[in-house]
Amino acid sequence: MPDKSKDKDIQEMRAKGAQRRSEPDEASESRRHSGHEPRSDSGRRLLWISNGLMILGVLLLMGALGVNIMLAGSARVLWVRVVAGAAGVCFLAAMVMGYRDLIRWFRTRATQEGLLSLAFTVAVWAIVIFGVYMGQRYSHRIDATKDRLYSLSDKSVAVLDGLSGQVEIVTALRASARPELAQEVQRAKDLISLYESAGRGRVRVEHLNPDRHFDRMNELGIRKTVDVVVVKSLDEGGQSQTLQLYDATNEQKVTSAIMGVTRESKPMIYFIEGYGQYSISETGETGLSTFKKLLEDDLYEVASLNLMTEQGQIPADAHVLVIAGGNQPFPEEHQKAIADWVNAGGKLLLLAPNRLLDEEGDAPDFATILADWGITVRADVVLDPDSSSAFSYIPVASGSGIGEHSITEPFRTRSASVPLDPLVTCSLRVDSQAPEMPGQPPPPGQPIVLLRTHNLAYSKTSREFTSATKEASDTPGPLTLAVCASREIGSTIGMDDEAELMTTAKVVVIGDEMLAANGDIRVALGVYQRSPSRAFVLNCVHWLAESEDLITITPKTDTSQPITLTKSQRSWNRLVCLLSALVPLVIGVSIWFVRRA
Amino acid sequence: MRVLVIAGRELKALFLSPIAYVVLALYFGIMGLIWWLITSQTFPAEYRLFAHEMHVFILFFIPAISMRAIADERRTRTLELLVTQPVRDWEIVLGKWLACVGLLALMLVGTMQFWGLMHLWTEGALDDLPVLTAYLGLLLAGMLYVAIGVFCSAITENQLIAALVTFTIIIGLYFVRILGASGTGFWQDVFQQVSTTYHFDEFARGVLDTGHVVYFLLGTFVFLFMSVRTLESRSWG
Repeated sequence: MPDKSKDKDIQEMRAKGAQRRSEPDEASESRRHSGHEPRSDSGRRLLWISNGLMILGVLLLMGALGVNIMLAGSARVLWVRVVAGAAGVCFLAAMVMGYRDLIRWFRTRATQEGLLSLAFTVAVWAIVIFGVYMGQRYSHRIDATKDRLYSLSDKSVAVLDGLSGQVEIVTALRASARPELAQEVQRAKDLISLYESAGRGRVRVEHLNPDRHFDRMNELGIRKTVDVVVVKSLDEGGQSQTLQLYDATNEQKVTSAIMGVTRESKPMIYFIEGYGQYSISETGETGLSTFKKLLEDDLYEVASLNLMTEQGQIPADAHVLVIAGGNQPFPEEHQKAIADWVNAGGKLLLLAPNRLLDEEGDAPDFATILADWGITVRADVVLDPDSSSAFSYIPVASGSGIGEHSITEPFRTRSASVPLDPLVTCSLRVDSQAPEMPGQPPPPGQPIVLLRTHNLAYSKTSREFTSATKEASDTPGPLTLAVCASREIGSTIGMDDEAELMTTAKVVVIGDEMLAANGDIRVALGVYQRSPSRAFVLNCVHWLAESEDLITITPKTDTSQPITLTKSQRSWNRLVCLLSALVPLVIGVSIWFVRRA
Repeated sequence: MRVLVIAGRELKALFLSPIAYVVLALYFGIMGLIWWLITSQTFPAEYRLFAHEMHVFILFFIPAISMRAIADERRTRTLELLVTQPVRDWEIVLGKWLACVGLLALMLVGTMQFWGLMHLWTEGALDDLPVLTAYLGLLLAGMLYVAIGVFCSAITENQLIAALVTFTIIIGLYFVRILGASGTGFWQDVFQQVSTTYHFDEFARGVLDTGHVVYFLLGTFVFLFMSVRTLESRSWG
C-alpha cells in the first residue's frame, strides 16, 4: 500500500510538472514580452539573418538613391528599379523571418513610446521643411552693400515683375575643365541666382553638368562642347534663347533674353536681294541659309526684301536691313530710300562687296547710304602676310586692333583674333573726325573702328596686281575692316507698340561680303567652334536689333579698393594676431593656477 | 529664467575647465594666422573671404564646444540629479544650447578686431554693413551647428562619439551642395536647400535674405526639439 500511494504521488507530481511546462509562468511571459526569452540556436540564427537582411535592404536603398543621382539616361531608371526592388525583397524577407520578434518588439512600452515620438518628430520635420520652403518662396531680400552689388537693377526687376508666365534658365557651364574661365562661370551663376530670387517663382534655374547631363542637354539643343546658358519660356509654344558665357555675366543681356523669349513678336530682319546680293534661301557656299538659321535660333524673324518689287518701300516692321555684297549697280533711288530710313532711326548692316575684284566693275560702293556717316568703302583687297594661319594672307584683327565696343566685348582677350575672308575683304575709310586708334571714344555720331589690321597688312588697289607680296603702290596698314556708328534720332518711325526701338539710327559696315555666307559660317561651326568671326557678325546684328534702346543697365563694378599694408601696419597686424591667441591662453593658465592654489 | 540659470552654470563650468580657453586660443590663433596670410599681400578691402574662412573653422570647433553638453551629465550620472530638480527637459536643453552659443558668440566677437583693423586701414571707406551681415550669418549658422551638437550629445554618453557624429553631420551639411552639382532639377534644389553653405554665402556677400534666416532658425529649432525628445526617452523604460 505504501508503495502504491508513493507511486500515485510521483504520478501527480509528474503531471503537475508537465502542466507547468506546457503553461508558461508569469516570469517567462514577461521575459517573452521584453524580448529576452532565451532562444534556440536555430532561432538565434534566424534573427541574425533577419537583421542582416534588414541592413542589406537599407544599404541597397541608399545605393538606389546614389544610382539615381550618379547615373544619367535610361540606364538610371533601370538600375534604380533593380536596386530598389532588391532592397524591397530584403525588407520583405527580413520581416517574414523575424515576424515573431517584430510583434514582440511592437508590444514593448519603449517601442510604443518611441514610435509615438517618431511620429511627432516626423510631423515637426514636415512643418519645418514646409516653413523653410515658404520662407524661400516669400523671402524678403536686403542688399546691404553700398552699391547694391548683389541686386538686379530696378529695370530688370520690373521686367521680372511683369512676367505673365514662367521662365527657365538652364546653365551648362564647365568651370573645372577651363580654370581660366572659373571666375566668369561663377559670375554668371551668381547673376542668374539673382534672377531666381527676384523672380519669386517665375524664374526657375537649373544647373547642368555638360559632362553628365547629356539627355537634358540634347532636349534643350545644347552642344556638349560649349559653355552656354539657355533662357527658355515655359509657356505653351515658348521660345528659348542661348547665351554664351560672356553674355550670361551681363545683366542687360540676360534681361534682354528674358524679354526676348517672352515677347510675342520677334524683331524683323530683312535681307536686301535683287542686285546680286547673297540670298538667305541659297544653301550653297555663297548662300546665307545657315546665317538665317542662326538668327532664327536667336529669336529673330528673317525675310528677304526685293526693293524692285516693293517699289523702294521698306516694310514698317523692319528692325534691321542687311545688305550682303552685290555685283550689280544699286539704283540711286533705292540707296536714297535706305539712307532716309536709316537716318530716321533704322538699322543697317552692310557687308560691303569688293569692287576691285568685281570683273564687270558693277559692284556698288553705297556712297549715298554711307555719306552721312563718314564711311567710305575702298576699292581694294586687303592682304595680311603675318596672319599666322594655315591659309595665307588672311586679314586678321587682333590685340589692340579689336575695338572697344559691346560688339567686340566677348572676344577682347589678349589671345583672340578675328580673321576675315582672304582675297575678298576690302578696307574702309572713316572721316578724320573719327579717332585714329580703336578704343578711343568718338564724338557723338561718329564711326567707331571695330576691326583693324596691324601694320604689316596692306591692300592692293590695282585690279591688275600680279603678286600677293607687298609692292610700292600698295596701301600700307593698319587698315580698317569694320566700323559701326549710331546716332540719336528725335523722331520715331514705324510700329506704334515698339516705337522706342527706332529712336537710334545705327550702321555697321564690314569690308567682307562673305563673312555671313554659308562657306564661312560652316567653317566657323565645324572647324572653329568658338570662331570670333561668327560671334562678331552675329553680335553686329544683336547690337543693331537688340533691345538696348528699351533697356540700358549700367554694369556694376566692385568698388572695393585693394589694400597693401605698410611696414608699420604689418608690425601691428602681426602683434594683434599673436595677442589674440595668447590672451585667452594666459587667462586660462592663470585661472588654472588660482584654482590649483 | 531657469534656462538662464542652467546656461550660466554651464558657461561657468566651461570657463572653469580648460576647454573654453583651449578652444578660444586655438580658434583665435588659427584665424589670426589666416588673417596674416590674407593680409601679407595686396588684398581687396572686403571681409567676404575672411568670413568664409571663419565659417569653415567653426565647423571644427563646435563639436568640441557642444560634445559635453548632455553626454557629460550622463557619464557622470548627474543628469538624474538634474532632472529631479524642478526643471523641464526643454529648459535643460535650451540652457545647455544657450551656454554653447554664448561661447561661440565670444569666439566671433574676438575676431572683430580684424574688422577694426581693416576699418582703420581703409580710413572708414570699408563697406561695414556686409561685415555685420557676415557676422549675423556666422552666428545663425553657429546656432544651428550647436543645436546639432547638443542633439548628438543627448544620444550618447560618450563625448568623443558625440563630437564625431556632430562633425560628420555638420560637415555633411556643409558639403552636400557638391552632391547637388551631380543632380538635376529636383535633387539639385533639394541638396542646395539643405546645404548650409548655400544659405551662408548670401550673408557673407552682404545680403540679408529672410529665407536664409528662416532656414537657420527652423533648423536650430528642429534639432533642439529632437534633443528634448531624446532626453525624454530615458523615461520610456
